[in-house]
Amino acid sequence: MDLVIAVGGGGQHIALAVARLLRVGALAEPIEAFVIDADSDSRLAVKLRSFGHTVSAGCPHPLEGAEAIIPPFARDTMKETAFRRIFLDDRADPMERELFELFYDEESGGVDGGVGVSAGVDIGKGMFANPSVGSAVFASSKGGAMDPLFGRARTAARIFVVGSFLGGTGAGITHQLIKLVREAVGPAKPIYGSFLLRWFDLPPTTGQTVDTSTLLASMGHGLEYFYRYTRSLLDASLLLGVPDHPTPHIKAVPAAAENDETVSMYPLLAAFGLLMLPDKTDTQARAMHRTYGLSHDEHDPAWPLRRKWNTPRGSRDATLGARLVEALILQEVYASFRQKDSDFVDFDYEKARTTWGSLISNVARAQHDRESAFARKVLNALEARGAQLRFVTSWFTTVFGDPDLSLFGDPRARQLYAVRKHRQWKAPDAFKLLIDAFQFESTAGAERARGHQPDPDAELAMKIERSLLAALRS
Amino acid sequence: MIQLIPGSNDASTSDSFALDQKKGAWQPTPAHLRTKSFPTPYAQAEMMSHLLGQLLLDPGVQQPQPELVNPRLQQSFERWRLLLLGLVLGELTLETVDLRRPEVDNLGAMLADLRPECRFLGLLRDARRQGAEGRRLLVGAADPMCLFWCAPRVARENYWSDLKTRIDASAERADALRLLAEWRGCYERNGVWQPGHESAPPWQKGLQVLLGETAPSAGALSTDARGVGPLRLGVVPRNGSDASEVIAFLPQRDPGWGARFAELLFFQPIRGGAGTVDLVDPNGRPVVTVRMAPRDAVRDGAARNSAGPDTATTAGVELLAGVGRLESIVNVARGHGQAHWLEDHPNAQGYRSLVLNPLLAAAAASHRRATVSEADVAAFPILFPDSVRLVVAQTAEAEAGGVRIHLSREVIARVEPGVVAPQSGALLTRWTPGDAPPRIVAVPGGEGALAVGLVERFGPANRVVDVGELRALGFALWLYFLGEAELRSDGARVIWTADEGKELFGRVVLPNAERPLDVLRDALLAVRTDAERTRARDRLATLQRYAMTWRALGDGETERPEVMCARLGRVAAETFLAWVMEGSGLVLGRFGLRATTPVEHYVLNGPFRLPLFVDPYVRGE
Repeated sequence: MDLVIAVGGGGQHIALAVARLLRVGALAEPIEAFVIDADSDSRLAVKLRSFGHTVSAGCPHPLEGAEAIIPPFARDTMKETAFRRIFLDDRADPMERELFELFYDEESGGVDGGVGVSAGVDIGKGMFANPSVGSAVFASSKGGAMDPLFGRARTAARIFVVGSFLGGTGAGITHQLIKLVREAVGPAKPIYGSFLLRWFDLPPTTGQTVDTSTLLASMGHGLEYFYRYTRSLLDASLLLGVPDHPTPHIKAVPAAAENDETVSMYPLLAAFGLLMLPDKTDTQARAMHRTYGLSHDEHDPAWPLRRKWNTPRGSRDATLGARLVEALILQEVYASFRQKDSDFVDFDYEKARTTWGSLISNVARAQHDRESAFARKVLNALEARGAQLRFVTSWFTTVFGDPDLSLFGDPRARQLYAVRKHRQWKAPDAFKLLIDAFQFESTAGAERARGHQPDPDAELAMKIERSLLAALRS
Repeated sequence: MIQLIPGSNDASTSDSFALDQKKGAWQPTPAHLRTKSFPTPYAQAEMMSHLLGQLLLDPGVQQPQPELVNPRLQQSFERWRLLLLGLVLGELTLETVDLRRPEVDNLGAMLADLRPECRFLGLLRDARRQGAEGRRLLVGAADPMCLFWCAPRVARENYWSDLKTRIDASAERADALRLLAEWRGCYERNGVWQPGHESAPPWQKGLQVLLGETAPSAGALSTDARGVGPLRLGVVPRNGSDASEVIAFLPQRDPGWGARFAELLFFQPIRGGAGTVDLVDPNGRPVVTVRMAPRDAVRDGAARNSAGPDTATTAGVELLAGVGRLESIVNVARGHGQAHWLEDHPNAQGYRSLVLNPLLAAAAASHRRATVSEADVAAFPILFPDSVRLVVAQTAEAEAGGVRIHLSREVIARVEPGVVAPQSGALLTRWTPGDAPPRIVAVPGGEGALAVGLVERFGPANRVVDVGELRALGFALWLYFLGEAELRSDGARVIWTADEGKELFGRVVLPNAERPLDVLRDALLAVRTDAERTRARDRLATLQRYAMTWRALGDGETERPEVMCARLGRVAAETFLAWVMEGSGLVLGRFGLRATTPVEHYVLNGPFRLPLFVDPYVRGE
């Protein structure tokens, strides 16, 4: 299993992109995440944890581990959240006090007995774009909250650290985190890094401690530190950010209000690093670390959709566009099932009794449930899965507009996409696909087991979806 | 295709591209430099490294001064300059703190965990200004990349302008720069000075800009400077297998320190408690303590009540942990006749056994070498503490000239601050009769580790200290030649019978040794005034016979005692003759009747006997 360590807000944006890509099959499982941020209740964090409020017992999160966000320090058990008091309690030796004031000025470290601004940074309220404070807080509490991470890192096949060099938390702890992970896993384990540079702008306001120039300072100094100390700990890395003369598709977007997700192509491209970096890395020459950037084709703004990502079994089209075509068709199929829900739950469609109806009836009997009631549960689970796919495709639509995907996908998927695009889709098309998919029922496999066994209805919904995808790729 | 990277205006022809060098455009503008944006508690050090890295090496070019447009910056090249010169001039002190000490608690542990190479943190304190808790004001710290960085809070105390005034008004500033240039030369000679290299540590760039073409001092590192520190310093490795850091000592001006240190070797080294060796005076009082094991390791070991000190925590960092440091130096003058303690004595170990060799082993561990030889120390002396480098330097100097000597009370009394007391004398076996007489002679026939030394003069050309022992001995031989002096019946003194029986030379008993040949005060006084010189010039013919007598001696097999003793007399006579004739415009002829047989001998030791001649005309030969 690969491990994605997502750090700070930038890391959460990339983790969301990874989850979306996993959901549509553009990245291959198994991948699990370890998400680190000081704030686990922001809109962005909630969106990641709940995958846009689509996660339920019958519909697991596509990115295992992303349901939880771990603070970089034991904030909940801290007696003091004033940065100064983390190191200087009432019994502190004068030498330690002297040393602290040598490393931190009044603004960051405060003064004895100070209140308000003169108390220094209160980490309970954030790092205030102060990576030098964030790094110290993280380094001083690394033994607690981060312990589970190192165990997972040791057993992971490959490790990807994703985040940004902006802000306070991610910019502050990423470097120290990589150092600790490398120490934990040893020199042989592949560790890659994918990092966002400037990719959004803060609104121009006055009186704030953080503005775009602050972010740029963190980026510049963070990169200087990265090239001097951190880069060599990684096998390869990817840096991405807005160029000096961007076209509209790649310009910095305004940061979302209230710490929500900022919609941009950049986190998606950072997630592409999960495929690109191992491909480009010669594992026999680990000392030859390389850092990469990506190029944007201004004549083809939707070029990421044309790139080859994961190739699912049975498909001959590895593009992201193909996966989006499949996701759109599945949403249409599930919508048709809902539109004709009595047909679905009463098995009132051609060959139903010899295909899915039989299978569903058998499972219902084993569950001591009525056939139609159980079939309705399966339909609900399929709808929940459709909601996840909608969460994915709507994001892509926001980023790329509504591109024509007619040229993507395997023939069956392409044909159905054309039908949908020309608004000729009819419910029977969905049932026909469902019947055709049954031939893959025994070979399409199941989703990887996640900790606990899913409910039978959810498991059957997953099987139907995989069979549908196999049919689309056949 | 557009490269998706800030600061890039390049068109791209491929889907991806390499970014193996950071882009200059990523660097914040001077007005936006922001120390706290560095993702490390060592952010102040990183900022100083950044600023030094921006300096331009072209001579005379206008250097960037971001502090002029960014008043929030606490670091600047100017302040770096003040810290460095402040240390060299003694305005600042350098103290090393182990971040693993319990006193610095979780802050120290965190800092040491993050950068293990910075575990021993150098702290710069102002030697004059008081800080917190009775300590001197903490004004900066050391770092392997930038050398020094500034404490961010002292600016509020108007500190930097005060320090600038003290530094720039110092009459010794030029000397400090020359000393630093000599220090820089050590790196140059060892191939690790490359300030223009792309991966050069910023401190080298800063020092290059500070010094430019400043000429180095000539040997001041070993005569007029203490080594303080040490510090880890980044260097550009000469090749892939070399380390990218060295552990080096910085120079702090202390005129005459080399000479004072040389004096310390006249005190007996005795193993003290707690991993130290004390150099003690004849009364057993420590004059200086040399730390031989890290203080904390000793304390930890004692606390654990284990069989011995646990040095595991400081293995490989012995020098950084204080091994080799000189502590509690008491300004005690050496007494007359104190023996030199570099080498072992019959029943006691000397400095080499007790201090130097163990420190060389500790230095080898710290410098990651299998062994460190004295040649290694001589080649790169600033990598070693004073307790090693100064000994090696002075030993090398001594060995080049002869053997170690035992000095007279007269020489010790005339040692001046800043002038190293003579350590060695010429071996008469190596002196070729007819050559210029040596200035310092090892008297043959000595017993033990040290020979008796007779010193005519010593010190560098610009600070010659005149003693006159050789010409005084020659004067005594002259008086004997004239029949005005005689050997006392006990054979222990030659006395000036013609002048109230003044003692000219003889053996003296010292508190713990006997000095078999000591030129005595009346003889020395006589050759420091013109009266006896004038009297000798009035007897040129006799002087010529005196010269012919001694110039006929000293040839032959040099290991034979009588040959060496004859050479001693000949050197003394030649030195006396040179003094007499100096400035007179007269030249002695190379003829005249010479004395061929000594009347008697002054016994130095067994077969080592100094012949005493009388003018044939006086004897009626």
